[in-house]
Amino acid sequence: MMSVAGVSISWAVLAPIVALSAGGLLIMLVDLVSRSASKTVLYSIGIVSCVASFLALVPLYGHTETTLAGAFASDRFSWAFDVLLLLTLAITLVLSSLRKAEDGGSPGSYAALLVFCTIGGMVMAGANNLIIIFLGIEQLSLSLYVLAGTGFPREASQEAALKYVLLGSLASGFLIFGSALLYGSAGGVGLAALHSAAVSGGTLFIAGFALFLVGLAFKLALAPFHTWVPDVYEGSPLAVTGYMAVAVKVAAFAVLARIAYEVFGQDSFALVPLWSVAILSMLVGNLGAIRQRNLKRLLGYSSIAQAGYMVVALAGVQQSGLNTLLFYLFAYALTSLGAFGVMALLGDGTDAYADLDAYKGLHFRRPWPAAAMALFFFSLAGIPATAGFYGKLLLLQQGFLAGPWGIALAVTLVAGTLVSFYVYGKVVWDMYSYVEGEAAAPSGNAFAPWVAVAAGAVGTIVFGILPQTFTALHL
Amino acid sequence: MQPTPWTVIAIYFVVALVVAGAICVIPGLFTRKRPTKEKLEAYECGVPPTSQFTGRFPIRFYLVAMLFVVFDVETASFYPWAVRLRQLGLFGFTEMLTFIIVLGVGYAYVWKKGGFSWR
Amino acid sequence: MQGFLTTAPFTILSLPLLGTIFIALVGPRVHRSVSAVIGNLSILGAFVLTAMLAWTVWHLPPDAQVVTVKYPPAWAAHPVFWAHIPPLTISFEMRIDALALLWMLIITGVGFLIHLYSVGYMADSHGYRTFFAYMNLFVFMMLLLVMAGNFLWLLVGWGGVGLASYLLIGFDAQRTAAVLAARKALIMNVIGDVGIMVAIFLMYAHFGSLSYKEVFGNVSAANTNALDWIGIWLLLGAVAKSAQLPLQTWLPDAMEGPTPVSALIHAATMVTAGVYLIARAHPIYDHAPFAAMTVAVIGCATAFFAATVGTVQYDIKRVLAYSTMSQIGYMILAVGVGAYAAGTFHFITHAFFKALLFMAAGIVIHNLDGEQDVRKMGGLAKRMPLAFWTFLIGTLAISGIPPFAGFFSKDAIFDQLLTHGHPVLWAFAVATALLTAYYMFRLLFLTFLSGDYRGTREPHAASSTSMAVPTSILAVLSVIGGWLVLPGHDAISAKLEPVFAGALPEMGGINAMVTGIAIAAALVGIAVAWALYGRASQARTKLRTVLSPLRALLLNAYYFDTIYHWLFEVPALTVASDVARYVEPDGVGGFTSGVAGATTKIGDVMRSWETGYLRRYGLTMVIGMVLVLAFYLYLVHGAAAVGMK
Repeated sequence: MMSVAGVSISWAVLAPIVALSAGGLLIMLVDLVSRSASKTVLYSIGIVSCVASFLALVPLYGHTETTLAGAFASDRFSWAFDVLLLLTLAITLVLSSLRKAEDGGSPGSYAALLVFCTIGGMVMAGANNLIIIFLGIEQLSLSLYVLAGTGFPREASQEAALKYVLLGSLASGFLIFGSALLYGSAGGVGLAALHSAAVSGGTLFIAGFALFLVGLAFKLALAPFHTWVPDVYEGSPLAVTGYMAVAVKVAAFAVLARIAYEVFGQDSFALVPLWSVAILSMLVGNLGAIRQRNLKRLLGYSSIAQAGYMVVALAGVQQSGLNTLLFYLFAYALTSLGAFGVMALLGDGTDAYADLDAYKGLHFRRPWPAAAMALFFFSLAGIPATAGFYGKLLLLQQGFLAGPWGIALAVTLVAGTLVSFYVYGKVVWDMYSYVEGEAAAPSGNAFAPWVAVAAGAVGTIVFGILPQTFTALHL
Repeated sequence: MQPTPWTVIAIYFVVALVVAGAICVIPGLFTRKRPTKEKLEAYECGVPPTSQFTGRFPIRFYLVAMLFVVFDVETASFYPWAVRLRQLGLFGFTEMLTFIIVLGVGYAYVWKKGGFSWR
Repeated sequence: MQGFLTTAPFTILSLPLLGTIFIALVGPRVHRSVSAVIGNLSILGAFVLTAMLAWTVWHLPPDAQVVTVKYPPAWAAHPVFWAHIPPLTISFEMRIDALALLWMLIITGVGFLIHLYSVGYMADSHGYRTFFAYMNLFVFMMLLLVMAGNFLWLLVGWGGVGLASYLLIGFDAQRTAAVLAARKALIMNVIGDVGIMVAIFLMYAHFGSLSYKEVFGNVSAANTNALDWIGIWLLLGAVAKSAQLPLQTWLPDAMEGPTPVSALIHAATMVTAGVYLIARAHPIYDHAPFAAMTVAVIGCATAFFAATVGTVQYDIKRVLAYSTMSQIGYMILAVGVGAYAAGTFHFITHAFFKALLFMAAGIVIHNLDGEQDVRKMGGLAKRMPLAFWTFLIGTLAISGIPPFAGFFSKDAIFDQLLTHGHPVLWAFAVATALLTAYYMFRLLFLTFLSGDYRGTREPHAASSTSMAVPTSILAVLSVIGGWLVLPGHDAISAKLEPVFAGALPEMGGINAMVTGIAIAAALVGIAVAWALYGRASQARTKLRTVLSPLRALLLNAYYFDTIYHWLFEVPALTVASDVARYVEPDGVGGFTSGVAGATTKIGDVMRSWETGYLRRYGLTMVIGMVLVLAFYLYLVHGAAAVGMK
């Protein structure tokens, strides 16, 4: 603990981010200095910095501390989210090892961007005032805009990057304008100041929060601010899409949870629009997924619906909500990364298996990947004995205890789940229906994606059958 | 009525609008207008214009402009630091050193990757 | 000593399971005899350990003879590993006491003999390995059932033995009859499982725990009405598993399984699980007089009912099945009136002589290439002397002739029925004893004596050693097994007293009148059987014509199957086929396809909205933003208008 010009700085709290930043810079330096540094070396540095950052996180477990004059915190809203972000980064780096020269971009800048993106997410998770939140969101977003375009030899990737950056700027505009209004209403940027403003709840605060929420909803892909999702998910390189689907949600939910508990602390009518967009998201996400023939688009719509589900955890801002949210986030992260892992495994890192037609009769060609994919789809749909099921159970519990809006959310969740059974069930059905002849798509068998698949499968099953293992972590 | 800070801002806003508008409008009311061909051409630092403004700029232009802006804006943070350097002491010095190193890595990276070459 | 007490139960339990796993994984890769050896050794090992455990426990002071063992050891006992639904935590708890030990001894001991017997009996079977895997699985589940320390684990074992029974009844899956019988058994058993589940829910509601220790410890605090309901639901489970009225119809059909299966599962062990359950839950029944009375009446009714049906059947195994049903009726009756020691004692002797009867019958069936109809047998005593003599011992034992095993246990039941003041039940029980002696000797005469061999298939007399040895051992046990309880020397009650936490009435006292009447009834039965079947008798044909309506009733087992067919199957099938024909295409199908059509329509609309044009996307977002803002402002002013602010 040191103090500079009256501001105390706790290095322990900042250490995880510093470690990761150092890793990112090192990647750039190695890429600069060594002409022949292979992508394996660069990605390994990334993974090592993940581990280092995680080790720096370990002592912060169960620890609550704010630093930098209350601007940045390490507490229950940041720790588990940080761990999840690091996990996502590590798995994404592993999946990225399938990238080839013709995918475009240098591996150095790609890996560094992933690391910087994660730093943005961790800053969001720990941010305790509006400026730091904005800083984190922008760091995350700017890196992601570029990452979406790292498959630039494909036009779809360029299109994705451009669409993402333009719509993202629009959303950032809302976010910063909302922050300004919030500042105006609260007389400060700290969340503590916002708390007193929320209690009095003037028009200026409400308007500011509305715009802020719009900006955040864009990052969370909540309908109707989800329009970018299908195109960007489809166009981005496979590993980036997987990362995007998980990391952005984790970081944005960290912010949302912190605001729900720190700024509001109880159910508030100011949160009603959040519940409404969540309901809309569940409907849009599940209904929109029905007619998709591209798995990346389908998972994009699925992520819209899942974001809607996760909001249910915050319904009524109940004490148990944070644990529910974390459980569902972990379940979702493992399941999603696993599904993208299977896609990468089969397509050998390419989008060859993004087309759903490639999955017809998959079981008879590749039984294990098919089984893994079925498991992940079951978990996304919420079939018992998977993590997704228990997560939804917890969500329903939260919803039904949270008054009329909570009940509306829970009912929509059930309805959306029913529709999603059809969506996922159809793919599983296709995978296990025999089709004559070999499918045209080649199917790879690299080792790296198995790591993601295995991690996802083990997590999905363990948290599905023994959810207590998660609760026992007391995150 | 006690003026709130917002009223002050509103007054400021109105005054600024009026002054700026007056500066734009008043000269036009009093000048004589005798246009010639040369006067109506686009102004390019006194050099005769070479073409109409319809063409597209190469992407390199944006790239360099963007890099310039990025590094230019970074320097803005030097001013407050320089003003408070004595109070910030050694920590402030090392902090800025780290900042410059990080910036330098980015700079070197852009340079090495050919961001500044006009290919 | 304490170490052995904690490790032995787990080892006993895991041996059969490891056997199953080994046979399943390694079996197909090695010679088929390996599976048999592993199957036998694992059960033998379990038996030896059980005997050592019993010896250890019975040398503890009486108040320490109820051992509760919690698994796994402390380091892994964290609730993470177990169902932890606050405030309920279910750990893996075992309860080792005399009741469990007696059952374990019979399960592993008789189980081992039957495994040994199967080596010869199943030698020609295609599914030799599978058979042993299933049998080991059964032993594991049965042990789990009796060793469990709470009702949830009991239910796991309960369901598990049902599964093993299902698999083994339908073992010969080529025959439709076997598959149908297996299905029937499973469905009936699941009805019972549901009963136990409901009882568990009730117990949780009233006691907040499922552990025997806590449930039984708090019984006296609960109200009688609740206990009655718990008892009745438990009884439903017991009735289904033990083939008591009215869920008895599956047991005769279950004889489609191989004979060792019938001997082990459907005679000696699994079907007595109901007796175990009621004896185990005795604190509940002690405080629930109505439930206990229901148990006794059902047991008595089944005993009598099954005995009457047994008198006219011609399938050797079916007769034995009805006799099993009837004998379990005795046990249920005994535990229902509170004569727990007598019920347990009868379970033990019954396990000996009924397994023996099945094995002897199995030798006959095996040597006749699967013939089971006694009308096509006869005069086999000379051709198969071993089968005859062992069957005779079993028959004498079941009929209650001293000094064979059945005499002592039945006598104990009769005696205690009167001691507990149930003369009516006693009268029926004695009548049942008469019928038992009659139909068992009828079976003996028809199979082994009464003239010459009537069948067409030439019996081949070779019976393998692996079949002969266990049969002989059981024959000896069927003679001496009853001597556990002799006048003035009651080994069973003494052992069981710590379990039932109170003095049990001493068994073995000879009440001259009661014993005399029982023996007389048995002798009358034997005499009638001899008169009708001992020699070619004219009286038989005459009697048959006179009693033909009664005979039809009995031959069809009181038309239970027919009644169930019309009561459940026909309406269900009618409704189902009507639904399939009329409701589904237009109603349900129309509805679901309508919904599916509508959702895909919506999907299409949503898809058409995603044009790929950025302006559309941006517009959507802005509209959304405006709506959110408008909504908020409306909320703010609305809230202000209604004065909530």
